[in-house]
Amino acid sequence: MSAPMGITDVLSRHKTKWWEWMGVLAALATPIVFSSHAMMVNEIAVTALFAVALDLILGYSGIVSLGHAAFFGWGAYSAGLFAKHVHNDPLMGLLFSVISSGFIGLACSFTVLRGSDLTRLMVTLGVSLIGFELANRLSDLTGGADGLQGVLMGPVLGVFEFDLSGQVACTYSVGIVLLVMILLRRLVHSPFGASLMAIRDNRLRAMAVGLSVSKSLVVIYCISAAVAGLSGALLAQTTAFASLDVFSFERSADVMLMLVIGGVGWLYGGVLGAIVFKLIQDQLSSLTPQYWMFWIGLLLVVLVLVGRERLLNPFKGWRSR
Amino acid sequence: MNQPKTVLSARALCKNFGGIVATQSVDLDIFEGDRHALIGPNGAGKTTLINLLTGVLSPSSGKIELLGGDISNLAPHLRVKKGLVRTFQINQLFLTMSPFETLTFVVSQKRGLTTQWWARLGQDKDVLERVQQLLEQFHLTDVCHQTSRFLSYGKQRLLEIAVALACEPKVLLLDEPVAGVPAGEREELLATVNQLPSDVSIVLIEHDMDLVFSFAKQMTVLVNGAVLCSGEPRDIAKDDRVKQVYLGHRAVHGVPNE
Repeated sequence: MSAPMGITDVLSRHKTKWWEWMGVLAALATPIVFSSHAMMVNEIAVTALFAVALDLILGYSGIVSLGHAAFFGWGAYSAGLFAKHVHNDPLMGLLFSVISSGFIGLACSFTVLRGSDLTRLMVTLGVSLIGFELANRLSDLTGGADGLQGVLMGPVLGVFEFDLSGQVACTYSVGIVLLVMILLRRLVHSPFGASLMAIRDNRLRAMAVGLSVSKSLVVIYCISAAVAGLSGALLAQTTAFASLDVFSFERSADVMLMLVIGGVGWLYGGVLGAIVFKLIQDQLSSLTPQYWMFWIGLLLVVLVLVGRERLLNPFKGWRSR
Repeated sequence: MNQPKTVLSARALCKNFGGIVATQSVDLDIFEGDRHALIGPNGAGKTTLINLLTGVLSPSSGKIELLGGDISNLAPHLRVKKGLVRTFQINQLFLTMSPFETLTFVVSQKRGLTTQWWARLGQDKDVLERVQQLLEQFHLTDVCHQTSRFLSYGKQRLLEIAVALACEPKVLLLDEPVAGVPAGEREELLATVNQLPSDVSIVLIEHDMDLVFSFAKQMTVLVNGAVLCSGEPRDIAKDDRVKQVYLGHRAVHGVPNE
């Protein structure tokens, strides 16, 4: 029998592949290579991480959400406020945002455990709208519609001051994103990751093999919220600013678009989607400032009808075989 | 015959859906190592009974005991942990995963490893060994890396049972295991069902009477949600009421057909 060979096959599937190393190197090189576009790279890195956070619940666990900006927004404002009122060290701020976002995720997770996809879309949307309106109304604290101003970040690790060109900001974001991606890569290949995919594939059967479905979903919702909060915090720290649009519906919708473009249920789908989306946005909005959304819309329709595998990501089909 | 140990029992189990009585005061005893067939015409309430036993539905009244403990109101996944596992009449598989991944996940789950997020799936040697055994036992080794969605129906059916057995059940409920399996793959499936470990008590729901009578040591006949009779297969085969139920109402009322 060829069973022993099969096992090495499967374990080798979890090994880091050459193109993953290439990706890490490419990511590390971006702050230097694209130093004149550092803020753009920074924004892509932050958005990519946000998309990956959404993928953890949408792609891996099958929970749809149209309001993931709630956690992104919380992360952004909490990091900004932490820097302003508590301590301006970036890493401490990140830690605070991650933990607090995780707890908010825990509180919200109970709203998405039951009901259909439609219920979840509405509930998650509602939560992000609540966040938006709170940030708007508590203007003494958040600056309301003017945004949170006067955030002065300290240097990263006490050494690297955020500069105007955004080089440090960009390196900082890319570094944190890479670190989180490494952790999440372990997570999705672990037994816990498998249990999420089992729930996504067939919740009834997952229960029928003795898995506590609710518990697993609560845990991943917390993790996803924490990662989304982290990305929001990165944005606020690197731009020294947080405005209401971190909570906006467009942000939740855009990130879902990116995920669909890059590939749902694939760890790098969010990253790829964010890169493609942001580059297209950048290029098109300079070509046709008024109509760039038209082209994004067209791309989306073509993508869904033709199929991403054939269009953009030929590796995915090959990977899952 | 000395009385073997009862592993699963139902006492006066009832389930109403509004005014409709789906399960009517059912008593059921499954012994250790039992091969128990549950038969009955369509709509007799077999699946409802299975859903009650596994906890998908909660009973209107009555009591279910597993290994001497009351499980009447226990959540479904906790019943599985206690050793009551089922298969489904319509395949319920993890379709994007391969049989290998599926079984590795289920065995890891059984051993409490699914809380691990740092280890790799399939890193544990004992788990892998068990998965290999299961793959061989269920003739899935050759296809163990194909995505389950693309397996033949017979192989999917085998995987359906393999997943249940990977949960290390004390009592295994097989809901129509050979239904819809084409003739070519049927023998393989029947042989596998017949070779399930003898210490696992098995409750079989099946319309295929050849399988039922070759497999079962005990039988229970359900009609309209209630137990019509139960006993050994040869007695059931002779029972006039059972014949009447399966042959139609004319015979029930004793009205001659011709």
